[in-house]
Amino acid sequence: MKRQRKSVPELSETIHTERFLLKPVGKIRSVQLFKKMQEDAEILRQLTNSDRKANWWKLFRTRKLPNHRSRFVHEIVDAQNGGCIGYHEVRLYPYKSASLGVVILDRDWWGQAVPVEIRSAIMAQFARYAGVERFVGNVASRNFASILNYKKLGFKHSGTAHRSNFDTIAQQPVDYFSFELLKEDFPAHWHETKA
Amino acid sequence: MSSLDEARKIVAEATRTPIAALPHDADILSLSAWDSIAHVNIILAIEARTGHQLTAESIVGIHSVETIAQLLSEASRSPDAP
Repeated sequence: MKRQRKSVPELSETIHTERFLLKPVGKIRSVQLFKKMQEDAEILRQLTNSDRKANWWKLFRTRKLPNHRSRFVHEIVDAQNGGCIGYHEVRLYPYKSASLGVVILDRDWWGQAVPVEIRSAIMAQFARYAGVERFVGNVASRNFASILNYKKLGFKHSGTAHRSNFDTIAQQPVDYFSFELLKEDFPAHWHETKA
Repeated sequence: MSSLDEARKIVAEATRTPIAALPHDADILSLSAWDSIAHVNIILAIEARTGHQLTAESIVGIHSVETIAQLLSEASRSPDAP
């Protein structure tokens, strides 16, 4: 029998950063955000190597939706005006690992170091309360912005999966990089619990 | 123009930093103006200079003026340099 991971109350709390609120959302809201992501052709292609949109039914069936135990989606909300600017995904898996994904839907926020700010806060939360000792991320080799963000956060390039996907628009294979950040490289304050 | 000067010019233009103010050892952590949009422009500028798409290994290795200079230097020595 598959063992269910216990729900940790702290992981369902809203996280506050300097400019944003990171609100954990449920299944329906996450599908709404995935659907919104598909409306931007450039983001859709970057994430799926295709221009094909999934319908609601397919999104519900095929996306790994949040369950607040091992899968989480945080809506990124502008603290100034309350508008949603994107979302961040975290998946927990053995051994003490978490994979990350972020989408900035509002183009006005591109180039404003949003992923670095929100990821630092989210990773700190998951290191403290979920016992994560290793964060990983996979990114297409020509997603230069995302590569830079992983490096700015201290992630190390841990490998390249050559020709591991296919871009159906450019009709060419796509390489993917793996990045990881291990416990010994976490900032010290991530290990401190709130008073 | 040396590869280092060319690398500094690319980074200065992409980050909108006066070239005189750009340290020779500037990198993604020390230069705050080196943001994600600047990084995209830097890689596209290198590809325009070298005349071909960079390999995955070259892309992931770019993190400083010095690594860009090395790439440009290797590209200029390559037999199919533009």
